[in-house]
Amino acid sequence: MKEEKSLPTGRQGHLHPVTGIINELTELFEGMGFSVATGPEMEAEWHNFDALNVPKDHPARDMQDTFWLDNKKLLRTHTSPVQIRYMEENSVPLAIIAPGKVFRNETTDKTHEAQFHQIEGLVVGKNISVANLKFYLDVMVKKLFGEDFEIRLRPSFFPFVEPGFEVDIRKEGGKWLEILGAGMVHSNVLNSAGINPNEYSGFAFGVGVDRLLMMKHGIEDIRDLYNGDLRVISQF
Amino acid sequence: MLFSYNWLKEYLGDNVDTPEKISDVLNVTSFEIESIEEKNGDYIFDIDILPNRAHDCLCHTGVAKEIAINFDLNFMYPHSEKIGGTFETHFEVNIEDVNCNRYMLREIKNIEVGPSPEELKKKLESIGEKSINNVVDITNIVMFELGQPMHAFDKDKLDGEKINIRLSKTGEKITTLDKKVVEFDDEVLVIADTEPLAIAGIKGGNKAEVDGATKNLILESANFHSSYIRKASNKVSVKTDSSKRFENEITPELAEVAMNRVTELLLKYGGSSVEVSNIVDVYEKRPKNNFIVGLKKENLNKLLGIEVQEKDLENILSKLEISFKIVNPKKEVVEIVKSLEGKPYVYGSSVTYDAPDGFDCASLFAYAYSRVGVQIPRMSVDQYFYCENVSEEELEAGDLIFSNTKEGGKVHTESVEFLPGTKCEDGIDHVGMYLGEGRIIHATRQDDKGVLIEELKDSDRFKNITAYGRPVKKDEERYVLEIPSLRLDLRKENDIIEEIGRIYGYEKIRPEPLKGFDKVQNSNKETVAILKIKSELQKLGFSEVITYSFTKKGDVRAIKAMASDKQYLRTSLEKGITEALESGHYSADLLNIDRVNIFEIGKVYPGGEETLVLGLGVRNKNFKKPKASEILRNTLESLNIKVDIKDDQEFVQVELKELIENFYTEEKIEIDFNSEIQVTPNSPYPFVSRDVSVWIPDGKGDENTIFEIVEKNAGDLLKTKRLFDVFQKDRRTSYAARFVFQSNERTLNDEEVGKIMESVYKELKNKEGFEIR
Repeated sequence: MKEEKSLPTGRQGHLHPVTGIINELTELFEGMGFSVATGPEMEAEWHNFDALNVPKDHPARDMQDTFWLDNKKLLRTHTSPVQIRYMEENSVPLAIIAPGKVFRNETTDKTHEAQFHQIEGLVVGKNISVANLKFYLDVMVKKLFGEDFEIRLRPSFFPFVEPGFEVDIRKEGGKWLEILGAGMVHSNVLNSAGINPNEYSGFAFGVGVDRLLMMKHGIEDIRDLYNGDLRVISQF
Repeated sequence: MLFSYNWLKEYLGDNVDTPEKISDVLNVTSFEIESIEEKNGDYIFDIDILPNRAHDCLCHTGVAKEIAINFDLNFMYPHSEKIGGTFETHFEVNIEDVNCNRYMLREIKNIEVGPSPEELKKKLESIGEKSINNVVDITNIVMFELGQPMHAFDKDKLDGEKINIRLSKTGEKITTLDKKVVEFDDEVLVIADTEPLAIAGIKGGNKAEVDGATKNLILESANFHSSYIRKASNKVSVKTDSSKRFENEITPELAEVAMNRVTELLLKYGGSSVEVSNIVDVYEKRPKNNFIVGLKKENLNKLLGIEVQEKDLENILSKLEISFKIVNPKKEVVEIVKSLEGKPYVYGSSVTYDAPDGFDCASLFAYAYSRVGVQIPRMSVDQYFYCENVSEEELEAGDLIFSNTKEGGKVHTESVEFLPGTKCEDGIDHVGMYLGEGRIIHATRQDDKGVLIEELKDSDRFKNITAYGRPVKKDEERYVLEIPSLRLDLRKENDIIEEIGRIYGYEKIRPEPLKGFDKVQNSNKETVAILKIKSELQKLGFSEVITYSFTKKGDVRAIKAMASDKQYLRTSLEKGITEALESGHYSADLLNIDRVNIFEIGKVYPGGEETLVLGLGVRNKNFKKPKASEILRNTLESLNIKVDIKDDQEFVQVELKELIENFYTEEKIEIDFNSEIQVTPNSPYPFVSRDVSVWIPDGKGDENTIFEIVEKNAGDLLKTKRLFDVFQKDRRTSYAARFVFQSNERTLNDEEVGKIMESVYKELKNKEGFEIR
């Protein structure tokens, strides 16, 4: 229950929880040497798919998943194109954290929205390993959910990483919950970005910000974050 | 896909662990197990097979093999040795299109078609499949066992003795086994006699359907190109267990195993007089060699961040049925290349299908190095970028020499696939391998010489050398792995590293921080400035919304939109913010606010240009003044943004691009955000507000007296309470407060709220000196 003691003048507003959690994570990663990177929401097919080792006839390219636009571009389906843009424009070694809005042409319900947010992490350099990836995922999860949380990696498949992982978290002794996808940057992706995979390796992860918010704050309906309704936002 | 525990056990013997244990282990080393269900003395797993394992694991033997690997069990192949025929079929196979990789056909005589015996029925039913008759059931069982789709035609319903795999003709039709009529254009592969019998790889037709009267069969075990099947099955809108498997690509090698397995089962369950013919097999593009991948232990350890022992690594490879040897690539490659002297020059020849019978200049070395576990690019210019550059003096046997022959052929000046776009000014159109002692080997079209060994200094084609390159160092060793044909996912070193990693166990990898990444490379000004603006607005009483990027009208349209009012990308934040103002105005009491102040920072697309803007909206609820326009004006002024605001304005939008510099600051911005709260969900039911005003004598109480009474009477239904007016007169004080009531389970009616208020008033009146205003 909300209670205001004083008369309602000069009250503070509320930041959207998406802003709050993205800031929490970017601060955390900046503190560990990552740069914040951003990119356009209206993307070229190359950055969203080809360069990420999603070939022309991959099922993920089907019409139902992607918002193709009448100007031959698309609405990015993930924040991963930022990886490509950053690699094209900067030299290795590099470490970035890239938050942003993404789009999927899906039927909406309590847990699915056509627009949502992701945070992408990418590190490329010499001798980057799964052990490094594990370290940063562990730091992130402990920061968000508490020191008594742990992670595990399970095999998974995303065209732009190899090995690919599904990452689960749990409170010690509790039930495992799937939280994000990650992996070692696929050599084809490094090739596309002009980085020699024989010399360099990298890790990447992509986490659904909205899912984190829902898990962490007990938000039941993702649509409450995007319908302009202040009832949820005002609680933060 | 559904998998039966009992069925899986057929390939694993009796020492199989419990379904729960299998599920726990597979979950972390192989696939996600969605559920396990106990059913008729069996356990049914719903397993989410990963896309890269759909080549070999959309079937019981595939998953059984995974269990064998993880539990150190012996995997027993189903009986499927080659079964020869007792007569020659007259049937011919005629493949007219490249998208059919292989077609095997066998004729079966004197089959007795009838209901399947219980054991077969039970198998199919366990994984939710219907039993049809023994013949159809057997083809289905083999598909779920081995992953190879099969088809049986009633031979006596066919016209002629020729099976054609050809493109459909526009207007041709087929009625499928489930009585659906599919009309073709000219791009769908069909299996046909004089007319289509089946949509190739996707669905059978009813013309040659096997039924109770069927006596003789034509069996098909074929293979079709994966991306073709995906396109075709979308085109005809038919998705089947068969199309799903072909879409994901299965090896053409499997067709033969499955054909023999089906034959074996038909002999067992098809009656006592079954006769089988020879197999007609059209398989033009058969790979000449097993696929070879190289693995350096050092690369494995480096990428995973572990120290795996040779013995453990070799143990895992054996479990995967990958045969291996350790080689010194540079030593062996020279021997291999020398053995290819005299082979003909074939421009554009394939490393997989043509080698070692013909080569062009680059394929010779792509092939030879691949045989020793070094995957170098296919094109000479990319081979150059792959190699370490060395000088003429450093040149040793096995190194590559690149040249620009200037003979008028295609000269490449940049990398095509390896590091696309990277430049090599001198240009490359030819490559040879140094053999030591001044000699070179290369494949040349000149005078039909083919693969040729000559003195480097005498070679016409190496008059103009661009570079010397080293694909691999002299004393390096690596594993050369021979990949089982089913494992189409294992094509590169990292594929193997992933495979070894998951079996080795990701849980054994110790987290390790990066070294040398302590300093932030680039500060993102835009992000900093945006956060600064957001924080300022928050202090000024504005709340942030994020609204939909889609609207009814705009300049960029989504080709397949969700709804007609969400077809376009927004050109302004106005609609989203106005709607948010409306909803905020409606719930103002519930939110305990007198004025709705909101902002959004987001992308809009006027004229198709992605533009970052700030939108502000203000609407009064209980206040009359200051007007919304005045709030907007003051707010923009305190942000130092100059925009004219009209008197009736409640929304304003400004472009942010120009303002980023103004707001960027190097110091850290602390934002006010509660990152620990648990959210109270919104009630879907309407709320009701009531105001209470009471005179209270001094010293007899205050607003809390009122709050307590209302709380007591309303319980959980009270959502917010707020004092909105206080004044004093003649030693008593007037308190005016607003209360908002709402239920999470039902719509509150006036009567219910009226009753609560009645009790509240009664209690207040009973207090000495209190007076309801």
